[in-house]
Amino acid sequence: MALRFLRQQPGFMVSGLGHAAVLVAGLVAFSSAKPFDDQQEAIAVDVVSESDLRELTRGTPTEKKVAEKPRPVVDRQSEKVEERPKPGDAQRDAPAPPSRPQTAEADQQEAPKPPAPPPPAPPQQAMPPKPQPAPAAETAEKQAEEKPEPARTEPAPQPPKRPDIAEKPQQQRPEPKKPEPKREDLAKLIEDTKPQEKPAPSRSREPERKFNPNDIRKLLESKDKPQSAASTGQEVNRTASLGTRHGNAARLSPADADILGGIVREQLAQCWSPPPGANPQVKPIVRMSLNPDGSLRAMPTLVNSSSDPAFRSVADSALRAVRRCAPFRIPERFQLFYADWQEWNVILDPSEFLG
Amino acid sequence: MDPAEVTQGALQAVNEVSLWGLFWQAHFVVKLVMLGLLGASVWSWAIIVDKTLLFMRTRRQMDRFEEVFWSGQSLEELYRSLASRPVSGMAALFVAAMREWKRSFEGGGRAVASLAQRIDKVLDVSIQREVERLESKLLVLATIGSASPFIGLFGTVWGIMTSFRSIAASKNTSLAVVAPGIAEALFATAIGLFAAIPAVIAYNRLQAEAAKAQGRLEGFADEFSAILSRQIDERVAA
Repeated sequence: MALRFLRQQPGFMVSGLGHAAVLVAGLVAFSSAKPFDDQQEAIAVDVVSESDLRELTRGTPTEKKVAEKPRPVVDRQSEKVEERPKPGDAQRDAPAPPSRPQTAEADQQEAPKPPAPPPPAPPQQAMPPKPQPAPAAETAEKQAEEKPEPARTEPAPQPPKRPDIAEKPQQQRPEPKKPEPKREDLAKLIEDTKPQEKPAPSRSREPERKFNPNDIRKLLESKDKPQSAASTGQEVNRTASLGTRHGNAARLSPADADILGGIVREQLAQCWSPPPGANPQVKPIVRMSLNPDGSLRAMPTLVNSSSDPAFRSVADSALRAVRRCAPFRIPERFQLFYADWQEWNVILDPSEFLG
Repeated sequence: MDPAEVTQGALQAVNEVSLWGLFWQAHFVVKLVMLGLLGASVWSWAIIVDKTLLFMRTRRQMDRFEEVFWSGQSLEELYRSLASRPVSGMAALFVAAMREWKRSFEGGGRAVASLAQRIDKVLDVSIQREVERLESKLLVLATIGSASPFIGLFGTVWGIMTSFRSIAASKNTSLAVVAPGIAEALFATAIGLFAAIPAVIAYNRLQAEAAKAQGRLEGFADEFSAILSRQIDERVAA
């Protein structure tokens, strides 16, 4: 009976067997998944062309567009200015400017603090600091000859800060010598107004000891200035511009542009003679695409057009001349500004070239 | 989750990508779905095999019967040879109609008036029975073909749901953690399609075959009833 059923309707048996076979095949085929090959981690790369690099402007990298005058955001004006030489600027060593002696400043700052030395001394001390700053100037080697005494007295102003009695006599020594340098360098002393002004409070040290309203003010004011993380710079600038922190794109200065224009025109003059009888009003402007070596990157094109019938011939001759002159000799120092002169417009004024 | 555990998990995941691993790791519901779909697939293939064989057999029998029927052999003899054993297809129609004919003339030909109509009815019923036999279980194929993908999809959605829940629980979204769950979930859809595609194709083919067989049976029934009604008219006239 079962056999007859199987013969008549073998579907289930066939199907079951088939599925079993497929399952076995699947178990074998899918027994293990082929792991992916280990692949190197991809590193995102931005391709920055040479000209892009040259045109890096100062600003914030997150900003969307470059401002007219790319500058970093500056919230406050800084007192110190970081002088960066522009790429094009000639750099040579220059003598360091004379700086004022630090001792004098130190004196001024510290003077009020020490407990008052004996009354007679202060008035004298007040006088000495003035002459000392001037003579102490590092640059004034000549002055050193003239004021050997003040130079020697340099250490003297410092001791007074210490209340040691032993040193006080030393302070008194410079006093007599001071007048001399003063007479010699009166003019300088006048210039050095700051040291003069600042010692002034020290003159009033005497009264301070007893009662000085300024003292109270100073106490009240003796707080750190509010700190802020705001960026500082030469000028306050609140609009951010696209750029990098240290980018400093080279820009052809107008003067250099004139020089370069002159160089190019000079070379063109050797190749171009305007057609005779050309209307001097016809001035074709030719746009040249230059390679860094001065050769043409593309055919020169005309920028302007004119209704003058002679214009065509003048313009054609100008274009021919540009092609003939082709590798222009661009001085080495302009290489830095290639981005600025790779597209260069030349006004070919016949009158200029005739002359 | 410390790195060793992660590594072990990843290794395990790599080890368990076999078909059996995919099944065994799956959620209970997904397992049920997979087993159900596998059963549906077995059933649909059983039906496909049975029906294909049945149609082949039926076609062969019809061919042979038509050959015998139109060979000029006496219908009485043919009836005697066929009536003794179970028959199907055209032979069944023939036997049913002949039996009705015989019965009508057994009692001395008194019930001949509406014999032709009765024979038509008998033939209709026989055709219906035969077509029903041919078409039986085809609906199962249709159902499997249309429902399996949805059932598989249900398993997939459920599996992905559990996957995401375990992601949320383990707070680890690395692909090694997510992938096995997704794979096993997709496996459910794969089985669903595996069952549905043959079912749909076979259903369409078998349906067409059944319609063809039905047409052939109806054609034979018309011809046979025409022959019989001519015989009746001749006998009544005689």
